[in-house]
Amino acid sequence: MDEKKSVMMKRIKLWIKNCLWKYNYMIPLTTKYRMAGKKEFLKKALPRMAHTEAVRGKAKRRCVAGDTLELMERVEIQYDPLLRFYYHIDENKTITVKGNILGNFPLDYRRIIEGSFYELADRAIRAGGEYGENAKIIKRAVDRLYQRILVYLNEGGHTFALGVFDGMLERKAEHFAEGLQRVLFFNQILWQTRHRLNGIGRIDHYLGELYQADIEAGCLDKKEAYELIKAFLTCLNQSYEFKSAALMGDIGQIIVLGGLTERGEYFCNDLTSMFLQAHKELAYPDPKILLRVSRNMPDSVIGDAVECLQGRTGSPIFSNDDIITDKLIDFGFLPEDAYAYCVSACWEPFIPGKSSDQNNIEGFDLAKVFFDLLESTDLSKISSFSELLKVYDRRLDRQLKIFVRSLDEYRWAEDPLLSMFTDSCTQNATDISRGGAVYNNYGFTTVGMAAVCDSLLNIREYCFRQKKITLSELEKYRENDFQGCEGCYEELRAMRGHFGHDDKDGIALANHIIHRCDRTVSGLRNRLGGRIKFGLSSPDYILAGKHSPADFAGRKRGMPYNTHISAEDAGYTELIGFAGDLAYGGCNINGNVVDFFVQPNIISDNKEKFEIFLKGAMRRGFYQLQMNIMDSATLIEARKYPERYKNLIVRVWGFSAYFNDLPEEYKERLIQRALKAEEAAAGYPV
Amino acid sequence: MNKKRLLVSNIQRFSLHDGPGIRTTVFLMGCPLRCPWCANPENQRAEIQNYVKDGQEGRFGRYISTGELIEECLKDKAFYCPGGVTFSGGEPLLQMDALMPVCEGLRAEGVHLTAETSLFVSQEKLKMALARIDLFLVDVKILEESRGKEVLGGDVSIYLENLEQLMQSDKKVILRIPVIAGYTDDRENQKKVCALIGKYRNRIEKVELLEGHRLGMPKYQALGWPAGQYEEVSSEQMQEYFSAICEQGVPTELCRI
Repeated sequence: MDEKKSVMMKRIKLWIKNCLWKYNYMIPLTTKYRMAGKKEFLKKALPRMAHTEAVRGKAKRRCVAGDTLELMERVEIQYDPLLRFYYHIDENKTITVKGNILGNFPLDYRRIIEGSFYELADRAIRAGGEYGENAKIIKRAVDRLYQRILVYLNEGGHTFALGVFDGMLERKAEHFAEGLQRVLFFNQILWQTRHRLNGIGRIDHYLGELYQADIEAGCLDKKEAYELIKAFLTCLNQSYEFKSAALMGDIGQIIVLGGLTERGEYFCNDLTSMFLQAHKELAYPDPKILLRVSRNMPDSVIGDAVECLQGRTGSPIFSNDDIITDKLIDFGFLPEDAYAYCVSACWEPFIPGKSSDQNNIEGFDLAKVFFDLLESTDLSKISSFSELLKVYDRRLDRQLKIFVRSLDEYRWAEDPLLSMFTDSCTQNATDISRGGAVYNNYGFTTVGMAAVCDSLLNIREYCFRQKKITLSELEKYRENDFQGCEGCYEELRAMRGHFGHDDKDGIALANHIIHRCDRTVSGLRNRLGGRIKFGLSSPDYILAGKHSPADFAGRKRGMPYNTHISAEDAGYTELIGFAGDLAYGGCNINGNVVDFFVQPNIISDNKEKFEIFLKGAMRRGFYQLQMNIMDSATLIEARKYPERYKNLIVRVWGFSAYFNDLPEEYKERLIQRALKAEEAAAGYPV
Repeated sequence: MNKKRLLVSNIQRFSLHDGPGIRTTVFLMGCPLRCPWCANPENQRAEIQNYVKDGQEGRFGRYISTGELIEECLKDKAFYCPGGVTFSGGEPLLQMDALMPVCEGLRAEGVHLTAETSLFVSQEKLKMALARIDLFLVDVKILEESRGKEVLGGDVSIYLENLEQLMQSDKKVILRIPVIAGYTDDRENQKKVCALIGKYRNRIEKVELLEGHRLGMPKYQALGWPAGQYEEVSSEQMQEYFSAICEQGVPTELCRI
């Protein structure tokens, strides 16, 4: 597809998103079924569409706040005493909203734990104007839901839930259980108002003092606290299918634990360990856990994390504060904000309470730039590798600029509730959708880096150094998906081993492309005045790969791209070494995840050594790291006998999911990666 | 062989079973023994070995300069906390001349060094190793002279002399005992092994009791060599042996591959 056509298609897509707002609310509810095949899609999506009612406000002039008020009046109130806390999402009612609803963020829950919602709302009301009016209606909406729940709980005599609910909006939280209930209440409102992929944030940090005070006062013991944490996680695991976005399990309720402080100390407390332990015990794919790590962290927390990993839920993902915090400061976040970072739904650093940053706004395919180049360039005129690289660079600059400019087509939905929770919106009486937040950056993800690096370096060797064949001839083979020239294909496949490996040229080329992207986007601003960030991890590796032609390094047409920063045939330390040498920083801060498979027995038989490995990996300087603790045999069995493996969980791009909920392409990819990892670990002698 | 180059068959990073912590294990080629249960037959001869696997021809082994080997071993330096480099084989001490600059280079970087050795080497080589290696993983196979000659093709008296010299030094020692049916598992040998451990009980960090395995089988097939035949040792017998060693008052581990 040429550039013009692609831009046009994107415009149409965004027009549907931005303008058909009265109807398009159904789309996000059904996206997760899109890969299930047409019949299955209709079977699942139609009832969902039929049963979803878009509630609208009674006032003549429609606004988000008015519709939200009516929604809160009408949602079903239902309490399950087994959950202990109150948590219920009415999956059949929603609101229609003009523009795209902000998503992919953790709410700054500190504000309704350390303060009261009324205070927050009253401050916004005092800002006056339309902003203040909207805040007034939102205050009423939240209050209505709260009062309705109170009456329900009171009538039902549900003393525990009533106890932790009472006074929720009027005053700051006084007990640990109250804090947990507040997070659940506002999380529920976010889902009800279609804020997708919303994270939980630094829960050990936010609730640590309340927990400690309760323990010291003797009104809570560790055992009960642990039970409360399990109840909390169980509540968040409700409405699993409803919450899932792009695929089943893509929910994004990420809990961030631990973290480096500005003073260089590592923050953690009892809750850090308890959340890791409870997550392992419950084994839900979501909520999931990200652990902020640092070389200063106590060994006991690494031990807890490795224990948790053995639960095989894909959690925790590790985020290396020794690298990340400095890079966030360099990018322009205030140090106090950088150290308070959470992540968007998967791994993209996000400053809660300060940002509107849409960090996963779209994916950019670095390999597509290369394929477009091959199609539109007279390759016979390219006589050296450096010339080819120059052509790629120029094309990358141009396509990246077009891509970033196209992001300005996005229109964001007015969001008075989120604005209240975000600094500087109320101070400036500006809604978050109009750039009211302190930080209004856009973040995109990239895919296809390995395909570009390995292809370019293979061409250098094959065409320009060994001169086995001209680039034009090789391109003909590639266009034909290497059909009939298997020998050449195998030779190229055997030559890869640049990206993700101990290959100075591979690292240098990856960093060259990173610097190029950085240089291109660093001067650009989005329509809210924010900056542009990017990262090397993207959910698109299967879908983008599906629509891509063959490369020059063993990837045939339609095959998936590499998953984030990975190399199937590299050992763990080799891959970490490569990742440690990548050029993070500048605008390249938007999540950079190393991803690999580990056979379960490697950890269970060598727990201490695995902890040593993780500490070494931190020192070596990975940015982020996630693992599938899984062997191929289990996955193959699970695909064959799904009924026997209902609870088998795997890590997909940045979320965990039940293996048998996944589309076939994803299952196959996971099996292939597990097999390759086992081969690499067995290590046949050179 | 060129003294400044080493013949290696594999450099295995993220190695978890060849000494403390995370290690890089260097497999050096050439061994004076021919143990029938050898799991790394490609390392027996001190020469590059051709093989055929799945119809594809290949070669075990390559010569590597000392500088290259140091560079390779330092790649995972960040992970050696604790950890380090283990020289295995084959018999790594056979290439001690060329290994010396490698040891010096790695020691200068503070890397912990381990050698997994049979000790069937000259005193001169052992002396060179003693001056440079921090930890010795020493095999205890067959202790009876004639059986040693017959099964292993080695001189047990040299082994015992070297072991004595090692024990006289201040280097750490871990003993590894392969328990192989029909070769090392007889009562007589067990008794001798236990007595040996008892003799050096204050010098031994740990004893690892290893069950025989057949992970080397594909390599025998690839090389076109016959593999040694032996039965599995029962878990009861392993347990019994384990208890007998524990009685010597030395920390003992039963290792399963």
